[in-house]
Amino acid sequence: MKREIKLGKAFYTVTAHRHGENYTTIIGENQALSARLEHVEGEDYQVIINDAATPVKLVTRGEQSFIKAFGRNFELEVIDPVDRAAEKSGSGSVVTAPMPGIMVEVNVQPGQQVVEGEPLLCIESMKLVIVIKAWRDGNIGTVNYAEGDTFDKNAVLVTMVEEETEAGEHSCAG
Amino acid sequence: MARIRKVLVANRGEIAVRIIRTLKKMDIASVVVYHAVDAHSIAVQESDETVEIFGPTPVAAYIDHDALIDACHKTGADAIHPGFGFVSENAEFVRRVKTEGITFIGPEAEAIDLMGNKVGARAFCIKNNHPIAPSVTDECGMEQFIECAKEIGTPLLIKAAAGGGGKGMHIVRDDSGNNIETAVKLASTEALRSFGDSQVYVERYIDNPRHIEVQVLADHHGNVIHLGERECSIQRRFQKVIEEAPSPTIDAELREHICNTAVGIARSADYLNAGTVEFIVEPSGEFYFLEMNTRIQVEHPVTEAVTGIDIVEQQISIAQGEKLNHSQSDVKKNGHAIEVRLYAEDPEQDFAPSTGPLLVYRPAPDVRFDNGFNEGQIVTSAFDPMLAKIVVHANSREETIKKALEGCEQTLVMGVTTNADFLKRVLNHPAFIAGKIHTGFIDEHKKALLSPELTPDELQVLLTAAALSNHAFNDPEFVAPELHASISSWRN
Repeated sequence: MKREIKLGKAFYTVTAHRHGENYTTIIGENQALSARLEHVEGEDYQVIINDAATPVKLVTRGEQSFIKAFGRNFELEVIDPVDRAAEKSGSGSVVTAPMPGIMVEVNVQPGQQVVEGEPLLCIESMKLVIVIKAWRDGNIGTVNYAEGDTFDKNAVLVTMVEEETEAGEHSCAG
Repeated sequence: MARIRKVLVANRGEIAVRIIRTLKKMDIASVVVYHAVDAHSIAVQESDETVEIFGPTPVAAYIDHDALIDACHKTGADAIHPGFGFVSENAEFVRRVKTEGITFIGPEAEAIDLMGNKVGARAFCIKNNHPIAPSVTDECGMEQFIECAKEIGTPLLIKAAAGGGGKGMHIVRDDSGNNIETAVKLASTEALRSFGDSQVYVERYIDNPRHIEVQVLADHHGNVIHLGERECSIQRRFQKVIEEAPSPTIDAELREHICNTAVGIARSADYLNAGTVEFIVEPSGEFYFLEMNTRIQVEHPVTEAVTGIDIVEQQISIAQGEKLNHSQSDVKKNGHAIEVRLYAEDPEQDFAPSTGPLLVYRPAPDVRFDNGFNEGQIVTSAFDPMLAKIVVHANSREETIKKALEGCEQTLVMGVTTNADFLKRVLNHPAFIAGKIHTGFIDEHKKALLSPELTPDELQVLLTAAALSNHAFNDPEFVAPELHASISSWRN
């Protein structure tokens, strides 16, 4: 079993094979380790790596693990390899929401030609107003939210049409 | 003035709970209004009665004047406590409440009008010889406004006249080109959207200032007292994160001067009930009136901790016409108090708000934990991302910092990203401990306040725990298909 795990902005490859109670785990291209996770009670666990135990607090939700260890809080996510592949080949022609919020102003329509720096949208999340500007010259593909609509984190707010000169390079990105 | 028998709490979250608890103590019945997203909140559970309110958004429900008045009539509530935010500083609402024969637990509409418009409040201060920073308003037209702004000189702070909470505030450090104009337009747009009023003004931005505010109480019998000051300089995005009382940055003489100035401002404004006068204090000790908040403040518990006075109880007593039961000399201050605001936000992502379910939510023992959430509740983007306030009190500042650190460490929140670790790094920072604080503290020490790099061993523990607790790794049937298996690669 091999997966990428996201921690902060970094991705790590983790492989784990079970042998009875223990797993053989490989992190990145490091040496194989013998590891297991022991439940103590509630959210208390022991992570045992090569016989050295570290107490952690741990809860999971779907692919997310929330861990408190070494007096700090962490959020890790096991990434679906299919999603990750799509993300890697992403053409950079979309803007996703950095945080949940509300669409305040939409300045453009699908098909409209824009120049770099032109304000496309204005979004607000709690105390922050963010103006999203065209990051290059080109045409607007889709605008997915109307003024007053709310959106979640990572929602695709606006897309730009692929530039013709680049069309060849991105032909398989759809 | 009639005795208050039943109070409608026109708020939510921790402040609603806070108010309900004092009402219980005073043997006054409570009614809380709630939007469906708050149906499982502590306020709803602890209130004697509840009334559901509706709106296109949750916030809209809590500011619906008609719904709030209807809820009073329906339940027979004879007073409204607005808490902070929502309708708390809405003069129109206060007038409406009065005509309906309901007591508003707060100041008169006139005082809210006066202090609600920062341009008006500044004119009032000039007239009454209260200290203010050099500024210009935009009444004279854009061109002249920018001219005048350039005369004050950079750095400049552009603010919404009707503003609060950092909305519509912009700093301009370089007045070349159309920098000022651009910032004014942005501030003006934000102001219109947030406060329904596009008026802005510009004042000198003071580098490394301290934000110090004074809690005042004023009754219907002409008595005005202060409960001392609060140091609120630790801010991010103009919002307070850590507050303490007393301020570690002023001496006894300056303290008395600032506190008396605050009482003077409340007096000349014919202010009633509890209010807070905020000041900007320069490194030299010069101080200027910033604004007056005509309501209870988020950070009021630090004052309660050092004075032993329940400010909500005072608000209610004043509203029912009682005389203040403390004279200025009766107010004694004891020890030191710190409040840290636990926010659902990610300090590593420029403090972006985070949302999600509170899978584990457990306050530290031995702290005052002002909180409105239950374990299992979902933190949404509908409201401010503050989860709770951790308030600690001890004899010395040093001990108080230690207690605050323990409070952050022992409070367990899992399921949403919080600023708990960041708060600990601030509390642990040598400059904070030395009291070398100012409103730019978080920016100045940005690098030192970042989360430290993980050691390879720590990283191993975390990745192992995440992998071995994940369902996919535990499924013996699952074999990764070739395509998936081949995608992964080591990345830093």
